[in-house]
Amino acid sequence: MVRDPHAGLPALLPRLFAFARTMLGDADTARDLVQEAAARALAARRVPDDEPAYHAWMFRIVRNAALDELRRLRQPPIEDHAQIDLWRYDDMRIAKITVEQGLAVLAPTHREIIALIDMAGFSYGEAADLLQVPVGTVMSRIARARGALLAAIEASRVQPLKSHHG
Amino acid sequence: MDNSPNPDDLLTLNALVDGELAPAERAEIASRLAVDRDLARAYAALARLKATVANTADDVPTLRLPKTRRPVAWRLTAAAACVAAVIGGLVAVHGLLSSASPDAVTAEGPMAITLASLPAGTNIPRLDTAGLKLIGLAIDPGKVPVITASYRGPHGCRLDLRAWPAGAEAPAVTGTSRRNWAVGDLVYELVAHGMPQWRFAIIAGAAEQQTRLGSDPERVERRLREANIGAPPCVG
Repeated sequence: MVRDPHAGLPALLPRLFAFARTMLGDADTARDLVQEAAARALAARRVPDDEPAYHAWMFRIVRNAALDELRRLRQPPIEDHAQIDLWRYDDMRIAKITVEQGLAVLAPTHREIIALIDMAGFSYGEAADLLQVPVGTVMSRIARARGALLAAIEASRVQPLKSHHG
Repeated sequence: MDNSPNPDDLLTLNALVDGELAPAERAEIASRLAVDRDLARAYAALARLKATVANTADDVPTLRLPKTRRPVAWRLTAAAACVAAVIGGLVAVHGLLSSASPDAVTAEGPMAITLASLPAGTNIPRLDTAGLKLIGLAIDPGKVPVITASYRGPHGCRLDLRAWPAGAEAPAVTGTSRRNWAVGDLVYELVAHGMPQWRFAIIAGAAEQQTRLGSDPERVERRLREANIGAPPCVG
């Protein structure tokens, strides 16, 4: 029996969307971009056979489209926040709202690696293949990116509400 | 006093939260975490950050067909797939398309498009070689779910391919030529509007072959080319 090469696409769409949204910082654009990527994949003549290769292929399509979109928008690279002593502050500040705001002000390369590892769930090896960089580069990029994100959260004026129990 | 972990430790902590350390490395850093509060705090912050970032990925909107986009065939294919996949429901998708996209369904060759997320892996034939462009996909969620692919030729030729679950009865549609066949759990019906019978027979044969697994693409291509020979403009 011939296996449908696109069988895993529906389950992949939320991850693709999260990745695109993080890269672009805009949900509407990300939604359109993922839909276009899905259509492009469905119309492709050659589709990777195995699941990991298919996932990487789909992310590559979305990533290339996102990079094109960023170039089209000519988004100026955003300077990283200065590294601060990240470990002294109250980590209760790490909440959904602060993370979303922090991601929005990160440099695209930082957003990209965080989206690939933390949202899309790629291993370092898979991300390295996708980005065509050594695994060590992925390792250092994700460390720098998380540091930058923590710094952005710390610099943000937004404070998550404290939850009270009892 | 700066209690930040050194850069090497940060790499290791990040790799630890990502599950990328070998067992021996993991054991080593674990033993240090047990005695080093600053290191443990940094690890906790990274783990919390990773979990929170992952949590932000849960907000996935309904993926719909964009309202005002340049008309490209493959958008409709995507809409069908996304709608069925993400929403899990069925939504009508119509639109006018052009052959603007190089990777779109207008690409050369008669390979069918498999809509993975639709029931039974519905195959939508490619009829470009016969001059018929896929211009729309409609998914009708009625009592009997029906997928309709619409094709148009440059001279007014119109074809509609419908597919629905075998055993059900889809609402009848009008047309000047009609051909039905079954593949697996699906019934397909190709309906033409004003197309010469001989041409319709060739195209319907090619379309049917494309909906079957293991069809010979070259043979399909030949048949679709035959349909173009001396084909007069459609009247429908």
